[in-house]
Amino acid sequence: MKLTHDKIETTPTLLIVLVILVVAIGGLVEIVPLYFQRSTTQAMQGIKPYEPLRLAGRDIYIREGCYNCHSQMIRPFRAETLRYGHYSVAGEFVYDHPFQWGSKRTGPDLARVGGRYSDEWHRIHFNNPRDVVPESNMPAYSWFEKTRLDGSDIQARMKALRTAGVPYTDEQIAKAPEALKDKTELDAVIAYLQGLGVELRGVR
Amino acid sequence: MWRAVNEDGTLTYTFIESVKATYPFYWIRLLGGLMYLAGMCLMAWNMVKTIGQGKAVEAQIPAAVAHA
Repeated sequence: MKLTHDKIETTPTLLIVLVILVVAIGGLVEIVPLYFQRSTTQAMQGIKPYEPLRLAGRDIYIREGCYNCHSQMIRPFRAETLRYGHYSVAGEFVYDHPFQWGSKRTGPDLARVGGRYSDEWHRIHFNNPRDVVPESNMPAYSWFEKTRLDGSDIQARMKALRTAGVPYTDEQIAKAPEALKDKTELDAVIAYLQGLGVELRGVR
Repeated sequence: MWRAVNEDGTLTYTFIESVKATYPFYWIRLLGGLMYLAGMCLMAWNMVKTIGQGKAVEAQIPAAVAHA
């Protein structure tokens, strides 16, 4: 039996098998190198694992579904780099499990929001965004300020991240609950936001 | 609006201006949603009324004349 074009197109099973084979090779060629390239597997210079307070803030960010309206991925387009700063690079997300790139932009991109506004601005903004940005449609997150941070699971979270490849030391994990003591959720979220993307701040 | 730039290469609009520009569309969306919801309420009302008017009827089963 000769494997002609006609034969393949008129035999669905054979067509399916061959298509899967071709797509699999394409996928492997594109995906597998990403696991070994330095630019995608090694942290960019200056990138460190999240400190406990920032990690707690990041977990609140995920809990509240902030990613439904805010992306953290600046694409390499002129308008985006003008608006938000240097485009995002893979090495910035090495310690992000899971990453918060998002895709919906009801609100602005937050990849380099760190240091853009003062802590005080964020405090007012979270309590009622309209107080600082009159046209804003972001909901108020006024309970952040009133909610004490629950630090009981921070060590478990850090250990889980260590399993995923984030190099937390035993000492860092041991001291984590200390850093979360007497903090509110607002403190944690602001700490998280203020550190976002600062490594490439001011770089064009 | 996100991509518009002035001749000197600066951005034409701030992000919040683009948010402001979407508000009329949110109102249209609200209107559409209310119409949709009203349609569903109408359907529910129709169904309740239809059920309310119905009467149970004994169905007569005609006796079989003969088996073929």
